[in-house]
Amino acid sequence: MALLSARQVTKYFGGLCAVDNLDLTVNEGEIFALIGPNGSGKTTFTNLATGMMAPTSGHIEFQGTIVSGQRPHVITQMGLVRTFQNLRIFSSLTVLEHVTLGNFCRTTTRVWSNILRTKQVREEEDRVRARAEEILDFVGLLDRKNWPARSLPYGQQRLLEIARALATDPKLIMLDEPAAGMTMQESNDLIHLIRAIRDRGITVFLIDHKMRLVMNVSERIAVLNFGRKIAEGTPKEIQENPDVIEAYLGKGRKTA
Amino acid sequence: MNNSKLRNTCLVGIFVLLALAEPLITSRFYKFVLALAVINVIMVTGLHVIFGLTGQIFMGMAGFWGIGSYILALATTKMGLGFWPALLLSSLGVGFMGLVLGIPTLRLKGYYLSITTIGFGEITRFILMNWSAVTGGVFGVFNIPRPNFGSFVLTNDVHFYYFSLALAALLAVIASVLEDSKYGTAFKGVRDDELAADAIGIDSTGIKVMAFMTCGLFVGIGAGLYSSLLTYISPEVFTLEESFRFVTMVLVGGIGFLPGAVIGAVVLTFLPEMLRFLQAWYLAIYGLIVLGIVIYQPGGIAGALQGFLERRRLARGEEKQYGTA
Repeated sequence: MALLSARQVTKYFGGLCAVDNLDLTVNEGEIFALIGPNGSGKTTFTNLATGMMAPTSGHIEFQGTIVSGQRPHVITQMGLVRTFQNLRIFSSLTVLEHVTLGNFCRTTTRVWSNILRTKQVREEEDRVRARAEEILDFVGLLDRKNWPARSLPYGQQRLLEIARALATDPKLIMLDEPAAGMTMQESNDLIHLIRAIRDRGITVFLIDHKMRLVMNVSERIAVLNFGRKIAEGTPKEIQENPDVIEAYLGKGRKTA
Repeated sequence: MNNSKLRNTCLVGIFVLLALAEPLITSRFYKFVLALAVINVIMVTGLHVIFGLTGQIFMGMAGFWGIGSYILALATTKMGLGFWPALLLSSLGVGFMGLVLGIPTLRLKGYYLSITTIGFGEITRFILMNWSAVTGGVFGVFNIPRPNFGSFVLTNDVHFYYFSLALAALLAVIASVLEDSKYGTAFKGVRDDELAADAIGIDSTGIKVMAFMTCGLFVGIGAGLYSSLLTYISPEVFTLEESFRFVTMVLVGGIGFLPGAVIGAVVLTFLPEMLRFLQAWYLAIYGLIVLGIVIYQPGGIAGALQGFLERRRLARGEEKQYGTA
């Protein structure tokens, strides 16, 4: 069943066409990857789907509702969350606070009851904390929960962004280059983590350059080049597709 | 020691010191300045929420302060309300102003917001000055009553001081509880990275409007106390210079650390009065002192305190660590 579908999505920046008439469907429960050379429009598409930008034309549906053009926090509350290619860590918060804040949009207590610290508030706080700790354990950061997030090493900050996004209870998580800057070991662990996220019932939309990661973990892949979709299929089909090879490696010289 | 523990310890210490300081001050004038200082503490607690916690540079404090002062003054003298309902009205009124000002302006970021709020403060002052039919114009409002408990009226400045101090302590507790709640984390998240906050489902504009309203509710109480303490107010007090002074109080204290802002409020209420003997030189010296603090101690009083605790920990040979479980 289609969870996310893009219909003829186009995005212009001035005269530059960043995404060109893109049609895309992500099915529920799969690990889907969007790949393509630098500047091919992958991150722009993420920005369009999560409300950071509005498309020039076309629209994006999530669970049958049009999300493109909505405000970002509304889209996240509908169950579509993202992480950032350039890390966006809250510099003054601890690791645990990041994850509890991720759950903020699912909490219900009001300001006044929070000032009076009613029983409901205390129960909610316990619940949120327990859930945050479970998620930190899941990504392997539980022993760092009291650290200021800014003092974590780079690779762990990436994991923290994933944990923070998971805390919003998403149905679909968009990971924008989660392996960037990770060591070999860390990106190997990431493969397991991505599969485990899917096993929690969350559909994964992965954007990355690292072919080893993408080919290993994804079930279906779409390839962008200059904003246009040039191929879609299983990892095997993509690897053998001449257009993809050309986009990545350039055209072979014709021998006469 | 974690941050909220440090904050609570410092706050208790400061409020005890303020309570003990009153009898030690003999001059009637400085007793009056001390009462003003505590009123500024209340208002700066409000500013702490929007500026310190949520990171929005609000340069229109004089506007909030002026509106709150006039609401209490007019409600008691013209509408015949008692002190308590008038104080409530001034708190709610300025809180509402926070909402009115917040919704259109908080989509603006950084300096754009600052400049807009400067405009808000100045417009407020001009309205207070020129809408004579309601505000009494440049002549101001006279005979503003003091707080009363039944028939007991706080005409004595000492009584008024301890009453204000109790209110300031109560508001500091409320601000601290709010800071430790999920909303406090949301304020800081929006301050650190608005886009990331949006991306995890937080309505950052809504959070900022909420912080602005909270600021208004607090400032309204301080402002109401101000007109009651003076029993006379006029519009020329609520200047841009005063808005800057409130922002400076937070800067001197260290952004985001409530005890720092409280100390900043007390110091910056006394400093101009104590430097008054310098006459024309006073503004220059005052400016240099503030500049010195901002340049040599950019973390303010809070930064100095944290540096001190860190050095002491290192001197004891404890390793820098954040604990595990």
